[in-house]
Amino acid sequence: MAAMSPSERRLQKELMSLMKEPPPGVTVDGDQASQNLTLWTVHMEGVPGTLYEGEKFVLQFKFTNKYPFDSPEVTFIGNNIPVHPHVYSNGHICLSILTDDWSPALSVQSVCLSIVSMLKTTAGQFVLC
Amino acid sequence: MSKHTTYSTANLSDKELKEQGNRLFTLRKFEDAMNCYTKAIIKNPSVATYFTNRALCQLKMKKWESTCQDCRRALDLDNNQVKGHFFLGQALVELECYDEAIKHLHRASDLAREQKLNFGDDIAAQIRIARKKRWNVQEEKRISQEIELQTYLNRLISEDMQRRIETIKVENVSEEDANNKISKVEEECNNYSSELNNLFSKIDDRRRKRDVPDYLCGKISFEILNEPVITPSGITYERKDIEEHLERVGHFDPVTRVKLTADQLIPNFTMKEVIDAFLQENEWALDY
Repeated sequence: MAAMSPSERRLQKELMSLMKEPPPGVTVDGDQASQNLTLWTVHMEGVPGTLYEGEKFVLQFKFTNKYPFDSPEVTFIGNNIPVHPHVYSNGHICLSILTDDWSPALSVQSVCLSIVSMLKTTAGQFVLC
Repeated sequence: MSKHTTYSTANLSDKELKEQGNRLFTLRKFEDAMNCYTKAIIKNPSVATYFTNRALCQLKMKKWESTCQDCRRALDLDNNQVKGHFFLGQALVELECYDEAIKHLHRASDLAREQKLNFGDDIAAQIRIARKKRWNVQEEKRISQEIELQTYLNRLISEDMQRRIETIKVENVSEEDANNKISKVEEECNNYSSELNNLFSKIDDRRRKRDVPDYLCGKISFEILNEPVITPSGITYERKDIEEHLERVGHFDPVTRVKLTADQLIPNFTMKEVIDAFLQENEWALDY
């Protein structure tokens, strides 16, 4: 095995654990991610009991070689973008942990969980970003 | 050799030759640098540094045997040469003489500490590589010995079964009795055999499920901690990772987000002891 950089090693570990124990409703495209560790596709199901129940969304994670010190770039892609005050129609997500409040102790898994819980709260929670 | 370096070196002193060698070394002209050190050694064979410098050239050129030779000559002149032990250790790893390599690398590490020389993580990293490689070789040997033992024991069971069946066949009993006895023996031996194979596959499973527990891993790299430091929030990080975080991301504890500066980091020696004990028992976890 070729020597991996620290960011690749961490991504490899995250991929393994996300494939083994994914949060409910979340699946990662493991084949694609292991081909190119810097670009992941994550499938997300709308949480039952919310507006998005039964819907399927696709998230794209882009990582730089400075990950986890740089935050990942996370957007919704494909033709089903959730309608939500914090999600632009082009898929851009307005979530503070993806920018100013990023911490290297966060992970793909915790970002997924944050997005899931963001989609759970909708009514009247407009925040400027 | 390029034209540039072919000017006469005949009138240079050994010290000047060494300096010339060092310049060539920084230009990554290892062979030319090596020649300069050789000339310096001819002029003055009692300086250990000339040998360790030449050893480093040979190390870069992957000439492991000659690296060892030069290191040993340097150590004959001065046995406290950190670099002599360090380069010798690295070359010995390449020659797959792991026990000796580890001995010299540890000596290098001890001497560097005594002489207050800072090689960063270089020596420790080489020790990890050497231990891991040694472990890999030992593990391979263990696996093949286990397979041999398993085959041997299975053969003993089946030979014993055959022998017992033969004894029954020559006994003076009815065919029905004999058949009953034989099937009993067969069943017994098959059970032994499957129990035995179960036992061996459990060992195999344990091998496959090797995982470093999360609590021994850094919260940033997700890898086993090497130089653990603890923050005022009580969270332990790998020193180089948390320092990089403070420099690049911000002055806060990544997990608790409490304000944090580099001078607040305290070495977590207890954690280090726990990890060293774990690695002692689980050398497969030595990463590199």
